[in-house]
Amino acid sequence: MSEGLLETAAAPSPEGFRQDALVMKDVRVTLPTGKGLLRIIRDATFHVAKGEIVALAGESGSGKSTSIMAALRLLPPGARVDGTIILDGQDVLAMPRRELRGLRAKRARLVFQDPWRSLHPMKRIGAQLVESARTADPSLSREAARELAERMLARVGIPEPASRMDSYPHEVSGGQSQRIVIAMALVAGPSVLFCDEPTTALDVTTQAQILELLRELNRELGLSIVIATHDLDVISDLADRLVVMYAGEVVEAGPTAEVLSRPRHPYTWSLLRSAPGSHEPGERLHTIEGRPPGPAESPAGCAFAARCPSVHEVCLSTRPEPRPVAPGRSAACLLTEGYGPITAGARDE
Amino acid sequence: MIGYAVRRLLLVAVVAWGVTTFLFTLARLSGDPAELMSPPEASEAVIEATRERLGLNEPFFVQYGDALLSSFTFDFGDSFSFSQPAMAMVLERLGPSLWLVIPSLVLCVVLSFGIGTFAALRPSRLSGRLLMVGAFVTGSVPYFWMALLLVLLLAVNLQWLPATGSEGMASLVIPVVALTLAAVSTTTRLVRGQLLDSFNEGHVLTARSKGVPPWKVLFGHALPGAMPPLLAWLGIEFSFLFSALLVLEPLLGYNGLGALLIRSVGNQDFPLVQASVFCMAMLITLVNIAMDLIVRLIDPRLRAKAAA
Repeated sequence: MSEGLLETAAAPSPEGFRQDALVMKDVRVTLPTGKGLLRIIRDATFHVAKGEIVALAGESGSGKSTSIMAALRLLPPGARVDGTIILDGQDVLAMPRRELRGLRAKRARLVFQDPWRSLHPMKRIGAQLVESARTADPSLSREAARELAERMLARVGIPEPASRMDSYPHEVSGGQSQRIVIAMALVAGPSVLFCDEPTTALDVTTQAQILELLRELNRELGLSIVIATHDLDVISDLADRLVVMYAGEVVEAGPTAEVLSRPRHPYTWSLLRSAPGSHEPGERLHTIEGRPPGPAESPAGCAFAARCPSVHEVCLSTRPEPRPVAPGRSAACLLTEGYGPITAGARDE
Repeated sequence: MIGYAVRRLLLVAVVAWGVTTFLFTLARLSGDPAELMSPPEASEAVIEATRERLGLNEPFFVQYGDALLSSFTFDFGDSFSFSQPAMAMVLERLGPSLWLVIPSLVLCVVLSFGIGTFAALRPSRLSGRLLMVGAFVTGSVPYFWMALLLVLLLAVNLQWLPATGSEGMASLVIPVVALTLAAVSTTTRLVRGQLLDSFNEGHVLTARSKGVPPWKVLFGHALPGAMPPLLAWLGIEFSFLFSALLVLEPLLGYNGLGALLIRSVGNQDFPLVQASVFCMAMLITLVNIAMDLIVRLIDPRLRAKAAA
């Protein structure tokens, strides 16, 4: 499943920016409020190579969706973004608004969790696709845009695309809506597709179909895909690489198969252990005790220390930095820095 | 859609019946018009003759039947006090009243959409907040008091406008300004609120994420999405403006339907009361139904429901 993309380095080198679809370096997202500063993302660094599928995994509030919104500079006004974000070779945070709109229109598109809410309820599907195509390429005639839209609807598996163009969003099912939203992104011919929990709102069969569609688009068009998800089972077959986020930090990154089979961060390990897929039928589901620190809290040490099964005294006072732990892999855990490995006993418990 | 329109229009008949019955009952409870119309020294025979002439001696159900019949034929008979056909008088006064209501409504739409949109685009900035405080303050001032203030300022002190009357365009200014200020305040706050909600909708974020320019996000995505409740509200605002005329017209000596109705109530002039209330109720109902139909025309989800 890894298609020879595993050799990509975990930490991007500056000269590596050109081959990367997305580089996030020391990205920090803060929101000043009346009650103090909220830290939504704390110095997150990860990258997505061209043609790669990368999953951002984590619980709600881990910062995975915020990372995507930050990459497109779509965060609400008031949110402050520091660090470096290079999207398709361009510095997103330094871009003038007009250029940024061009980047969103042509090169980096976004698919949201809830397909019903992503389409305008009062406009025909065709009109929304045509608008999308002509925003990306204003020289396109209305007729050419319609033709392109129909072709893309057919490509994402919408039956009778020509008649669907005249439908309204409430007339199609959720799975079809999500396909339509994906087609709406594809008419622009983007090089990066961001998907924020693209299948969470859908039933299991439809989920699998949408994920398969994303896989095909990645193979055929060389589309780089970034998926935010809380469901490790969903992305295990799809993503080339996994970026695990916890409390606004990247705690582990590496090729999906390796991270899933040999997690190097206790959080990843706990997350895998609590996934329904790793349980026998009838077995009680494992949970991770406690809750992650909120965006208003700033723990002195490791953010996961309070819930960590392998916590060491030093973890409470020292904040771990992401370190390379194997070729193409990194983890932010003091245990990987010689404070004693995760014991076999802890892992089997 | 046509079926829906027909069903709504049947509702008008129900409203007509309700209004007629209500007025009829109320009128019978409020005393004897024959006595009121006659001079104090009139003999019992004269009063009785008047009663007979007005049909007040007929059995209750005959009178009620006559009232219903008049509502459905739009013929309410002659006014007791003016001895002219009541409906003709009402229609004659409707024009001047609409000269107050329609300009107020148009001004209200222009101002509230303009200011509301401006404020929604800068919700946390000082200019946006000040506008909302302004809207709140103007909305807290009763329109009749506002009208009196305007009379004091523009007619008495500055002498730019007539204080009372309904002659010429100048006489429209004070009532229209008072009505507009009253209506624009709530509508502005509603426009701003609806737009802010709309900005948070997934489809507006989708439009922004597609690189659609801001003006097109506003006019092509956010505003259309915010329209259905605003249109329904404008129907209600129309009702409010009409009801405000009942106070404003007598206050400013303006010869409209509101003044006529208040006077005919005082005179216990049943045909005139019936004709004017009936006419107002029908107008308000029809405008609200029209708004309802427009909302359904622009919103395909409601259209689907209406067809079902």
